[in-house]
Amino acid sequence: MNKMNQTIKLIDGPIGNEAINTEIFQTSEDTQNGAYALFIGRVRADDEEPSPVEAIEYSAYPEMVAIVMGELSEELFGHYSHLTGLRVLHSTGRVRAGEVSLLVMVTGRHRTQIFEALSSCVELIKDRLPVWKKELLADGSSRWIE
Amino acid sequence: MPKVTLLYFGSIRDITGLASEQTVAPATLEALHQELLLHYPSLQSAHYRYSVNETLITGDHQLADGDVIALLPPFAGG
Repeated sequence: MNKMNQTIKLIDGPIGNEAINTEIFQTSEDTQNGAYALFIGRVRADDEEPSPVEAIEYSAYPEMVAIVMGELSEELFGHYSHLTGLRVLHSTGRVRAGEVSLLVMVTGRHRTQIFEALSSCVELIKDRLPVWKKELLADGSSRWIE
Repeated sequence: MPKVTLLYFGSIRDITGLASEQTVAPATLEALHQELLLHYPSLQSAHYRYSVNETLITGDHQLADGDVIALLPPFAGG
């Protein structure tokens, strides 16, 4: 199997521009990998009843997040032999509509498999990571998304 | 009787009103589950799975002193 280089960080609140820039620009020191693919997930102001989504409140089980992310990485690195790196930032706490709550970046020597690995990683995160979200609506009401 | 920690997440926390509690549990997860249903009747209609020490459990499981048992409603990351 290719060497696994993966990190996941839980960020309190939105993932700000500085954190996003850091993730992107630290790659300038990397002379081995030629391909980076990036997914950014942003909170939408969905027009729900009785009022629009103002923010999402995320909560997580951090100890289990670390373990599950290790398992997901093993599956991804096992399946995509050209994948060399995987970095994930996920928000906890309150993230307002328009702000970023998820960043996933995958790395490979070449672009082969990278887009597919990125898509698989995002789906696995949504399916298997022990994270929960509650929509906070503009009228002050809230509901769990399950 | 093992001493365990219970963790409640997401919508389950609204039912229990607590993030966590320590308790003396019966010997098995199934028996603990039955006790929790008596203590928190609203769990009857809730959807959740159990983890013991950060591992998802399907079926019954023998509990040990120091176990951390979590009630996990459906995940919704991203």
